[in-house]
Amino acid sequence: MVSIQTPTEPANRSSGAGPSVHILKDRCAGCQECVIRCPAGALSLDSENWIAVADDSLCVGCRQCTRTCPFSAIYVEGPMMVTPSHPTHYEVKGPLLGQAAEVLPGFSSFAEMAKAAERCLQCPDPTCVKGCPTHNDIPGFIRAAHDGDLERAREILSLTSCLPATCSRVCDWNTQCQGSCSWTLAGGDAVEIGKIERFIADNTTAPAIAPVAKNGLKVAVVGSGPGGFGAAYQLLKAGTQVTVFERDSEPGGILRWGIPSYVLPSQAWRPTVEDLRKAGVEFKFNEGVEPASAAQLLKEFDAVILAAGAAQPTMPRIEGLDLAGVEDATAFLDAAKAQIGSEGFRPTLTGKKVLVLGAGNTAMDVARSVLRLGGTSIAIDWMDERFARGRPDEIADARKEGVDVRFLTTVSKLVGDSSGHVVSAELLTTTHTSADTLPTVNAGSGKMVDVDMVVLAMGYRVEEGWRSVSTSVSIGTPPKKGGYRLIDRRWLGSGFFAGKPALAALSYDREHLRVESAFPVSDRVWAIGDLRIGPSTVVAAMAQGMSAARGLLAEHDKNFWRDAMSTSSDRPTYVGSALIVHDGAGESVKEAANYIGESLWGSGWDIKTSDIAHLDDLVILGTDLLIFGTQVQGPAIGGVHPSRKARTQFPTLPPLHGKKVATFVVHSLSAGNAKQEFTEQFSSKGAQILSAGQIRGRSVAQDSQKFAAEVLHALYK
Amino acid sequence: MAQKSIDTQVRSDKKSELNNPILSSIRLREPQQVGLKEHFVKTDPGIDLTENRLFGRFLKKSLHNRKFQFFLILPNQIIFWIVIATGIFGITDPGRNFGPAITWYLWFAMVFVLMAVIGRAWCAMCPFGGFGEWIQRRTFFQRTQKSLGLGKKLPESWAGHGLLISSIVFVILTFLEEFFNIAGPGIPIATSIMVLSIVAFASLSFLLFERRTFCRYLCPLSSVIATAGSMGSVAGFRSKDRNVCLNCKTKDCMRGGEDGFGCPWYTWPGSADSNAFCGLCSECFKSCPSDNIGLFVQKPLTSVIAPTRRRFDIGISVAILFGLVLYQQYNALSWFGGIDNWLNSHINFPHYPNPVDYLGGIALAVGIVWLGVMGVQKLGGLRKIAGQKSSWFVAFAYALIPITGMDYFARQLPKFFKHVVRVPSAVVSPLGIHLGIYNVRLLTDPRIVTVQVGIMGLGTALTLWSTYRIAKTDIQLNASRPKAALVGAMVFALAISVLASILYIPMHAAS
Repeated sequence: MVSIQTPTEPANRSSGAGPSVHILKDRCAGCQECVIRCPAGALSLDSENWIAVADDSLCVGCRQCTRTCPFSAIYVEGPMMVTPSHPTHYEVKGPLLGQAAEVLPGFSSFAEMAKAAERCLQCPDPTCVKGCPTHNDIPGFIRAAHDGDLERAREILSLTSCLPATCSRVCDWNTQCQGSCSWTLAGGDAVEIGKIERFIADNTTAPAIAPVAKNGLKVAVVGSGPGGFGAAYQLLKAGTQVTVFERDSEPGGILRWGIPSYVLPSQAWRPTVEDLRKAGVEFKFNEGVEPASAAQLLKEFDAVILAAGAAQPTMPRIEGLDLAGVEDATAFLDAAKAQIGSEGFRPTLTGKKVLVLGAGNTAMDVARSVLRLGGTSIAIDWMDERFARGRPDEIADARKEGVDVRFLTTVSKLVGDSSGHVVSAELLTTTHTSADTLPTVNAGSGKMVDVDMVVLAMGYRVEEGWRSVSTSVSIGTPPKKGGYRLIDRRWLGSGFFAGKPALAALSYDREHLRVESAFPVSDRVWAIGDLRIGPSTVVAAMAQGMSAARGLLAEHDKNFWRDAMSTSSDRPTYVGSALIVHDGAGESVKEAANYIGESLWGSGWDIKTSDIAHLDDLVILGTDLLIFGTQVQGPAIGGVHPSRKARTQFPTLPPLHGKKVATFVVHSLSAGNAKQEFTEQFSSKGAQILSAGQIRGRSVAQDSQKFAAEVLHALYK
Repeated sequence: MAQKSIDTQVRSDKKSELNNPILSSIRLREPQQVGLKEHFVKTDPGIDLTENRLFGRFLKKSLHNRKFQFFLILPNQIIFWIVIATGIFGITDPGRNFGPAITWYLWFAMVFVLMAVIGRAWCAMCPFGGFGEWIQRRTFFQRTQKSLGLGKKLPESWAGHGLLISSIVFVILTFLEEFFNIAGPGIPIATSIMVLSIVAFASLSFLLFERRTFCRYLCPLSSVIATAGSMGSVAGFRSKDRNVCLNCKTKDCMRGGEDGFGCPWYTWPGSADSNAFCGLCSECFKSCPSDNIGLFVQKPLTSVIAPTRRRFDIGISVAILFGLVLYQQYNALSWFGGIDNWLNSHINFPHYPNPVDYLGGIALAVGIVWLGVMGVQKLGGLRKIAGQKSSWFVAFAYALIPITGMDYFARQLPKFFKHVVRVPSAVVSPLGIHLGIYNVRLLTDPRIVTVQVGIMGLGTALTLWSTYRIAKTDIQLNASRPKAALVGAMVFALAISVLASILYIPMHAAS
């Protein structure tokens, strides 16, 4: 067994306590996956024997090599050579009443920040960047900050984030950047990435948004939450004219009404709004866009990005919801935020007992706000704490403040007095044994509890109508969790999955959603953030907003691929770019793809061909014409179909709304219904089918050229 | 072709500036390329069969097909389950029972031909590994992304010994086979039990460990095939351009890609310099995103004489296996039975073979090789090479691979020539048909001896050639008396080879 010692004090190498690297000569293939990723440069290649060799005196014990080796041929024993981290934990200081001061402190000095930054290994293949939903260049900004160049650090941050001061306060670092830090993966304490980011953001101003020349695009962004900010920010940088529609009278969305100021002061995100306004964003307040009216925007704008969030509270099915004193978390938090820390503060809940239904993050915000308004709070959740959806640190902090958080508890009814005001609630215990199952209520365990107020904080969902197909603009169903074809081998190579498989899978799912958000949900319409995927995080919404904007820009840039193409003096005038994707199920289908490509190239198209297995979905963006091909498989008598690979892999492609698509099948005896079956996969994704052809295996060249001609005819008719 | 398509990877990188911020944060060190050419120049095979004008296209198509290995395994799988069934339920005469007949008269000899000519061809079609792999992958041939079993890695302390474990398992299995007279062949059910035990051991290993840990480390035949197979002319799957592999960002051939599993044998085509650990399963060929893998052939003995990196586990395995086959030779001599019986009576061991002389005989052979190497070392004034454990022993042991391999092959010939015709008899006998060829032999005893000695003569010649090449390239460079080192090495190799060869004469084609 490999033993890992978490340091309490930095290990002293001179006393022989350093780590030692063991390389299994039998298995080491000399592939150098460890060598190129070792942060300390402790590994090199013995070219005589073509195996890795280690210099123990340089090894820092981060075990990056162990995680990245494809053949498990290397392991490290001994301590980690890193100074221990002393993360500050929240401590309740003084009375909470009316207190709006931030509960989690940042670094108090540059020296403190620099000391924390010094622990960063500057990993050549940083897993923390993969863990970060927006993929901030964490080693990059930490290096710059450590070197004292905070402006540069902020510039690096601004490439991927327009809300660093916000994200560094509200992100769940333990399941994002810090959870995937190399030190964490090795069993140690993470670099305090969140606090370093916060220090940079708090001590610098964001670089001005400097748009390149106007690109002529007019885009409407619906919603001014983090997703809307991200989209607008990215669009502005490309010279787009952006109009943001906000149903409220102020911008910010959940940042403004949903997160208490003792967690996120408004100074953290307000400057972003000002920056966007200065750069030309037109905000239209009190102009909500409903599912039924969203299509109207397409008449005025070239494209629409929907970032309206998920603001409809989830309601429990219990008696007494209509009683006075029962309200939803949004209204409560909005009102509480206005009160707490304000000049005219009044402790409106003095002596009041508030029951909060839910123990997620919003519920904790409600329960803690109750304390600041003078009341006491009980938060209940019918799940077991082990499977709770709230952040463990938030729950712990709430308990420290005095919130009575009760898991395995549910409510069956609310009882009112004669005036119709809630006075008590019946609480029951539940049994919950597995994260995959719902809890069961223990009948007969009911117990009445006196309450003065009940706040519903059981989560939010997307407003009715957005997902309905009958709506003018439907955002469809949310992308399927784990709906990607194959984990990117570069992610596997980084060692993230070997270190923390569950967290890596979670991060990869987030990445899948981020990439999916680059694709339109219907013609010229993008949907992102909570609206698209259901309640998520601030940073994920912002990242998706930026991703959607990039996708939109690529789709509208006719020359998107041109500079990536090889050119030749004998080629005809450039017409557009075409992507030919085949299933790789046979040599004939590859051959057909090449013949089709050759024909189209001769007509001025730039061609890209790819096996579906190796296709990067993002290549689809900015491509003018898509051609998909498959080999027909199966017995002619029993019924032929597209190849198994085509049936399993093509459905995982992203939405193809507005894309011109042609399909072909390659068959030997008969194509049967395979052509139709294959083509339907793409029409169901919203593609505009130009042509569906069939190519005989015995005459691939002629049939392919004929099919290419049909495609061109369909394009130009 | 006039088409100007752009490599997907390049385009992805270009586009990534717009949509994949991760890539801009990756600052990998440059892989070391110094010494790449020098290290592999001697072992790089020149002929890629997949590029052959006549059959390359068909071969490529077959290798890309996921059913390729399935159809190699399937016939053997069927035969082996018939072997098990007939061994248990068939007639008790081993010569007329399909199970023992095909196993010991035909299969064992065939395996040695396959390894001497091709390398790990048997591994590509082996029903033991195939069965375990089907269970582990939960499929007969599809590329699944989830596996069954614990997926453990062989503990480092075991894996560090490489093929040595397989050699030890082979020694144990051979002892058991001799003790129970399984391959004699004895009673047919013994063959069934042995085959079933191997199937169970293999399946359990596949459920416990990841990839083909069983085949690589634990299979009793692995070390025999890895060593004797080094003579083979199929170099295995190798990279066409090593620079492409070195700069590959995904290493699908090691980690598994969409179309193929990661190498089950822990071999990276980008650094393969021997066929010893290529199981010819074609997974790397299927998974490579750059179409940079080919199926190469090489000159015979290339994997014996050319590798720059010689492995200690192969060296020691050669010595052990040589000791084992030598033991089998001299225990067939009449005078040896007396020694064995004498030892049994003194340590109260029930019957042949006595473990003391069995293991002692193997150890003696290893010792003789070691002493011989030391003698050559003294004679030629060979310098020790820093950081290379027992490098001269390993180098000499590599040179002995041909004679060891040929010795095993020659050892199987009496059973083949005397009894292989019993196989068709055994096939039709359950149908009530008697071919009347049961006692027909292909060769008489003196002719068998002639063939055996001839094969050993070929082995001797190949060993001398290997010794000469290894001595010329490596040993002489590090010798203060190069000529003496060369002559000493040649004489030593000749002496050992002749000893093993002439033993076949007094053995009189004993089975």
